[in-house]
Amino acid sequence: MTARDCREYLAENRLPTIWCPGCGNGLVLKAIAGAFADLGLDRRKTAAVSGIGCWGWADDYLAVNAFHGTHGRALAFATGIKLANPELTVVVLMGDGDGATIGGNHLIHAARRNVDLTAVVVNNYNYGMTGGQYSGTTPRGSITSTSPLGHVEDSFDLCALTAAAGAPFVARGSVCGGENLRVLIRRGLEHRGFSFVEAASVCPTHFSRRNGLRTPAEAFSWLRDHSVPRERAAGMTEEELRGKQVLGVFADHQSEDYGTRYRKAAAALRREEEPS
Amino acid sequence: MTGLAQVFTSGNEAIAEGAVAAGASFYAGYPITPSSEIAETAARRLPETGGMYVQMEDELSSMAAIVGASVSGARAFTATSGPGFSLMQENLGMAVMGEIPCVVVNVQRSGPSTGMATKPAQGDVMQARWGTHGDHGIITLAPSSVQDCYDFTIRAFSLADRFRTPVILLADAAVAKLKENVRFRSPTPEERAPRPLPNCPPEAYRPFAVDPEEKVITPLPPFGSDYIFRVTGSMHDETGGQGASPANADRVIRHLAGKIEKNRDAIVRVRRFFLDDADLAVIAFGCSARSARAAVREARRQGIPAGLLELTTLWPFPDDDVRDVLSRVRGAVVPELNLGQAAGEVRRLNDFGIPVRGISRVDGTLIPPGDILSALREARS
Amino acid sequence: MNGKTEIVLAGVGGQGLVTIGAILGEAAVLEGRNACLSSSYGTEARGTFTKSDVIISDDEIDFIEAEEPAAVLCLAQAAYDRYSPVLGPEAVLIYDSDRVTPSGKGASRETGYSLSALADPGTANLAALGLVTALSGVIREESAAEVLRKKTASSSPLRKGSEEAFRKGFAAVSL
Repeated sequence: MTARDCREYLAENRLPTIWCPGCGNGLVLKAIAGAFADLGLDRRKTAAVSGIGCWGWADDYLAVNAFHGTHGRALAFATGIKLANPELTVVVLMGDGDGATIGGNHLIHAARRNVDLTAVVVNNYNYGMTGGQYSGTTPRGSITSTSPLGHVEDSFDLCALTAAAGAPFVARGSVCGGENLRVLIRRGLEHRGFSFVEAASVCPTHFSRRNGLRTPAEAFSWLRDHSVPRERAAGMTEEELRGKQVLGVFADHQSEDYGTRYRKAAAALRREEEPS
Repeated sequence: MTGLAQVFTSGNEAIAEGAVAAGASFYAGYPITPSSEIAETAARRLPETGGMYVQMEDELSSMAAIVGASVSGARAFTATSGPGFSLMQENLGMAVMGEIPCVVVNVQRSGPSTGMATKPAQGDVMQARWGTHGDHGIITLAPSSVQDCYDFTIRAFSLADRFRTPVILLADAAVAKLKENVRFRSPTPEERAPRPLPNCPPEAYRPFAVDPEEKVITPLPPFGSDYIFRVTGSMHDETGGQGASPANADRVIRHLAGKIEKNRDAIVRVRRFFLDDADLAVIAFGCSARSARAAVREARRQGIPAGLLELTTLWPFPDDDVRDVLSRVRGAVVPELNLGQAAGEVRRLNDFGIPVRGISRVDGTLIPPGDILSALREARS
Repeated sequence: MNGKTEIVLAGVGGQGLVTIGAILGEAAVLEGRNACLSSSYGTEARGTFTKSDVIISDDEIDFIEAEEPAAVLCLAQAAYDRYSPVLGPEAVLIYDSDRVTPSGKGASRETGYSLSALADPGTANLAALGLVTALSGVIREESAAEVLRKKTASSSPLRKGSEEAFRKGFAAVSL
């Protein structure tokens, strides 16, 4: 495989995107297309599986096989797609609603089951498409259209969650991080087994605006200023880290994936059954 | 076929064996009484034939996984019972909208909710038809014997591929747990035929192209072939792109219903017992058809000219066959383990003003043939 | 034996009644006849009332439950109490005298055997199968024995001593 131009992987006839001005989704889309290009993926052997929400439209702009399923179930569709055709590279595109909330159980089981998928969760801390309601990653105290008093629940740390569930590759990047996100997604795609990449993002239309950040520029600045690389975070206190996004790689180990393990066991069974 | 040895096994096992015989290579499911032997048999048999079993975290994901596997080209299936079937409805709709073939086995048990897990019922007739939201067509087959469990599973895969649709095998706890002698026949080459590939160049392929006559169903190539395409549960145009215009939405919804409705001849099957000279008809399906057959045989012995129309296809409902029978008899009896779901359909077709009497049983036990016989006697007087 | 024969095997969960019902059915199929086995049970794997109906026929079997059983096996008092009062005059009722106290009302067609005297607890169901086979005459002794041998060699084998227990039960009837 040789590196290609990221535009080969974009369905340019469908651009521009439907996303609001200042949305972080376009940057993640570009990072994905860039990672595909870096690896020179065969478009015929690549599938993007998406959920529902603003980020669920992303597969529409990718020039690969695409499966736009139901809210929260993208990982489950992807599990079938990958297991039935192991030749495919399967990337799963979810928002924090899909990945962390309605599909939270699928997320932890996909991490545990270790099917060879790369999940890219764009976390904008609210349900953007339906008007900015709170999700499983909405920080405590935030204002959303359904937490006008300030959110009283605590939020998931998705990287800690998936790493604890056994995902062999777990990373968090940010839409403010330049090429870093593309590198993390590429590493996720290269990693055999379940890979999880969270892209910390912004929702200037709803979440950011409701929480005092009136322009996309302010939203991006806020995210940049509240992001800490993992190395630096190691030397910070819990108090100092409150309200910050820690960026970096949280798990990176080898673990044979479900399909490989299953096929090996089945092949051994068939050899056993052959008359000697 | 007759040379083949008979085995004595359960409906559940026969369903799994039928799937393997049909070339199914992928099962995803979540165990639930009274269908779990299907999962267990699939877990044992699929790796022997190069297929794969995966136990998912729930029925939402089980249904999703088989839809995904089907898009990758596998003949894929799942099995469940009431509570799980309810959870599957969302992604069953995805299969309907995305026109993705797959087979869903629902071994009906007494409901609603957890109900009585081990007791038979036939209360999911309408759920099979309308369980997922929105207008659509669906195919539902109802086995009444262990042999049917085997044969209908093979047929379900064949119909699913042919019409690019989910097919529901609506079994019940009585038939699925029943053990009987059955022949595991080899499917015909046609029944095992791989899905056709499109014969156009990849750039010209339209995954959701529609023949207005519904004679030609657009082939669905697997992900990974030369055909790059998009499948979606959202309203879509012929390419799979967004297509929410009123004209397009109208076309798609009418197609989803029409491709089933306009192909009734290829889908609908019934069985007729002693109907030629019948004065009274019993119309039944699944385990209740067994009770009905016993009742009709006994009625004949007693000189009552009764016959049985067994509905082995429930959806699309066998309108023509039912109407034909109703037009020839003086009364009809519809026994079922629910409060009249099929009887309502029969009444819808009763343009002849004859008495249609339902026999409903919802206590988790089967309808004794004697109850049907009594109803026939009453209908006669 | 011609026509249709119905047998009911009743007791509590965990006694192996479904297993012996399946052996009866399989043996009948081996003899080229039609057979079906339907079971009624609770959600628990052990301990509650269960019954298995076996129907063996030369013709197609319509209704899948026994309506006029020719033989009823009762391995628990609850089973006996349910069937003893309602059985037809032609039917035989076989009970485990270790677990069932007969009412005395149907004495002429009821026979008790001590299963513990015939087999270990692990194979008592097979001894009971021997009794049912001999008393009903619905299948041949050798057909059941053949199925037993096949099952002993299968991937989930029956317990050791199954055929012996079956033979002992069968022989007990002619003693």
